[in-house]
Amino acid sequence: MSEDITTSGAEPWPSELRVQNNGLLLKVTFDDGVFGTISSERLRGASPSADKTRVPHPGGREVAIVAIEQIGNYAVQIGFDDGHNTGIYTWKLLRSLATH
Amino acid sequence: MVSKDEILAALAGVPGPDGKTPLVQSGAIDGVTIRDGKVFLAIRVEPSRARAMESLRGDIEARIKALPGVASALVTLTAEAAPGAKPAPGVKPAAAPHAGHAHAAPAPRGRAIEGVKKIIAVASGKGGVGKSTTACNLALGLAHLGLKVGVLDADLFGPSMPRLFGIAQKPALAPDGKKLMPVETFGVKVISIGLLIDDNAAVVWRGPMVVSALNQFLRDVEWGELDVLVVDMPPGTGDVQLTMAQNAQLAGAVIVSTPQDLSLIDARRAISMFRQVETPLLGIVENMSYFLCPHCGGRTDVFAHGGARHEAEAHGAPFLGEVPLDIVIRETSDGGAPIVAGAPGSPQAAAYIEIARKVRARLFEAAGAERAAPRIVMG
Repeated sequence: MSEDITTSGAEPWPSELRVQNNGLLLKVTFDDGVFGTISSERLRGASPSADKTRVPHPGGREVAIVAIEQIGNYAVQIGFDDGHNTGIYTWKLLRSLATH
Repeated sequence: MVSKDEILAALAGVPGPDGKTPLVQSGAIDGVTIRDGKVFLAIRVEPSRARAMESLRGDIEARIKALPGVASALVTLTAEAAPGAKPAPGVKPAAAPHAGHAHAAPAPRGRAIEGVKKIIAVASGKGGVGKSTTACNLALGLAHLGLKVGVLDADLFGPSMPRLFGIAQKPALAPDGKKLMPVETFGVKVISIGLLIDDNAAVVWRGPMVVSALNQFLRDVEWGELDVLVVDMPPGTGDVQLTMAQNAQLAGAVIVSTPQDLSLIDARRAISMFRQVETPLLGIVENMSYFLCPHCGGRTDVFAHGGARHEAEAHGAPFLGEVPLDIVIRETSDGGAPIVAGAPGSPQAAAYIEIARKVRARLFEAAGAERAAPRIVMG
């Protein structure tokens, strides 16, 4: 029971999600001032969806982000141009991807 | 290869969302993405204009597709609050209208419900701890304090609200013929699947049906102006809980537990779930806290005592109060005349009103309880 399970408010939240470079980059800025940029390929690879099998784009080009939608208070759902749009990315996951 | 300038040039002459300013000059274009001849364009529109913009969207897609070097075009409408309108706290209007278009983004989620200021969940983890009784009397307590209150019975498999509130009538259709009117009783607006089916009928549904019914209760019920919508959750941490966390903007959760370990274990699971979905914990209620014998006046701690308070303290969560195991509460609940409405001056009602007071304070007075949603910028 060492984990504090009550407070939501302690962990950093994103203040802005900005899709850049024709959908190839996602810049995430957090409310504690930390920011980081995640490539669309890395995001696609980190999709927590159960259905994330990939069919590579012809020519091996990178996937691009085409949609971002907020889910409740805790995550966003990101759509890619290969049709994958079921991955739900929590603030925590975005933080980890943006800072590591 | 088509360029962004060529696309914008092709859209010259297309009116913007206000119908006057040309689209290109209106600032409503949120981003143009070109990938291998595929063009993605996002346009910000006010939700009220979304339907009208739907035909324009097709026109814009056709214009882009007609350009040489364009393999396909996808135009999405992104909702935006009306200029000058104060956005609901913590809400990012998102996504396109679900107009059934093949390209349409998934149905908007995580939005607030129009007119409803705060949505709170009453949950327990374990069943049978008096969660619905607490939700009912908490809602009446909030109404007693002068708030406009609604109750959404999210326990589709075991709806208790019709009995607790003593409602026998079926909900009426709203004047528009599409939405459902909640049934108003004791000054509280109530909707429950139990109002739509027979008392003894069972709801035998798989998850997707449950999710769709809950979304209808959220969006297709004419809630009107509410300060608080109290959601009575079923036990557990499954489809219903996840749907509410994803599709409603929950302002917080109240956890109900008896003092016994068996109940507290599941209460912890519920707390952990709300934490995962970033829903603030408003506090813990200890129900069936003790039993005062009406005959001898002696007190028995049937389910032990103080467990929920201890649990709250251990996690730095507010303890909202204890409600004794009391035959008056049981009788008024089964009788459809809830104690806070029927006898607001009674000591039993006072316990609930005190809990409501603390919940209200946490909801409306605590600064920074809710955090702003991130801005989402495509472009």
